[in-house]
Amino acid sequence: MRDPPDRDTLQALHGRLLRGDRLASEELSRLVLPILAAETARKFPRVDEHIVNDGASDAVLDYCTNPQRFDTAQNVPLDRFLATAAWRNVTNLLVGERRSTQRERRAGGKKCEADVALEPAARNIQQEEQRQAEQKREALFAALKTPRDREILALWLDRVKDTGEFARVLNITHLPFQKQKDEVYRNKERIIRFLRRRGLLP
Amino acid sequence: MTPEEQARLLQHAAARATTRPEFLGWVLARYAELEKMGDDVLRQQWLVSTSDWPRVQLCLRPRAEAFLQDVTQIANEFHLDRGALAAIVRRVDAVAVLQANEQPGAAGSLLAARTRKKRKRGPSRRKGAEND
Repeated sequence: MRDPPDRDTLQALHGRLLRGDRLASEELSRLVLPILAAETARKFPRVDEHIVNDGASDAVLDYCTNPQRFDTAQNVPLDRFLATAAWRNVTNLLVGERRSTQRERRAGGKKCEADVALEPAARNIQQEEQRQAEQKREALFAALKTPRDREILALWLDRVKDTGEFARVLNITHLPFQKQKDEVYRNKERIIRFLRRRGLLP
Repeated sequence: MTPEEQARLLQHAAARATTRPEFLGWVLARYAELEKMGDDVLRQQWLVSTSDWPRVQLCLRPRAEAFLQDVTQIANEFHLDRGALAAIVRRVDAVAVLQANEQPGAAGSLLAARTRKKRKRGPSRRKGAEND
């Protein structure tokens, strides 16, 4: 892999973009994108490569379109600014994807219900099972006291594996990645143990 | 990341740039659409290598207030025909302006599009005409 560009080079490119240099965007993309995509992929190890590349590309293109968004007075280096933007883009894409999956699942569930309802011999078993699952889910959420724990439980039940998602809920994104992982694991275990003690989880 | 992966990543970013009007990639994509030609045909016409094409697409489009300067800068970097590049950008801009000003509901265009109805002549009028 190419060496990451030094801060002076990035600062010079930022200056060129502000002055309206038409080639600076291309140069910045070449210099920064491979490193940015690799770094973002490390933060989202189980996420599809396309989503990671979309997030990293959009971060660079957004910045090139509007370089004034990067405020040098805040003492944040450009590479960190872009890394944060890429992380946010990927998170947003994942949230959008999860919502659309849930919508599809709901729509699919309704279709099944409708089909079963039309078949008298089937006796709506699916509907009954779904109702039971929903009741169980509601009981799990009701047992937890804080909204934060409920959010963690929702992510866990949705089978989210990304540490970043949990870290965002726990508000610990500023911590080093390993610490985030440890904290996420500790919180998940705490909630699961609590629910087991209540007899709500096997 | 291998050089092939880097090239693929740059192509990915260039493809995303074609959806953003601020980038030259968008202008080139619109031009290819207008001319009903593939992206590759345009690239071959300009004698740009496959590896350089995403770089061209990732350039910001020339600004109206510094048009000649910007076109020259891009053309020099990629050894393109400055006149051809300027013509493409102007053509795409002109079509965009025309499309923006098009008002399908406006009175003039509606009249022009309407087919004329044949007038039915009532029997009384015809009779009158015969009397005349």
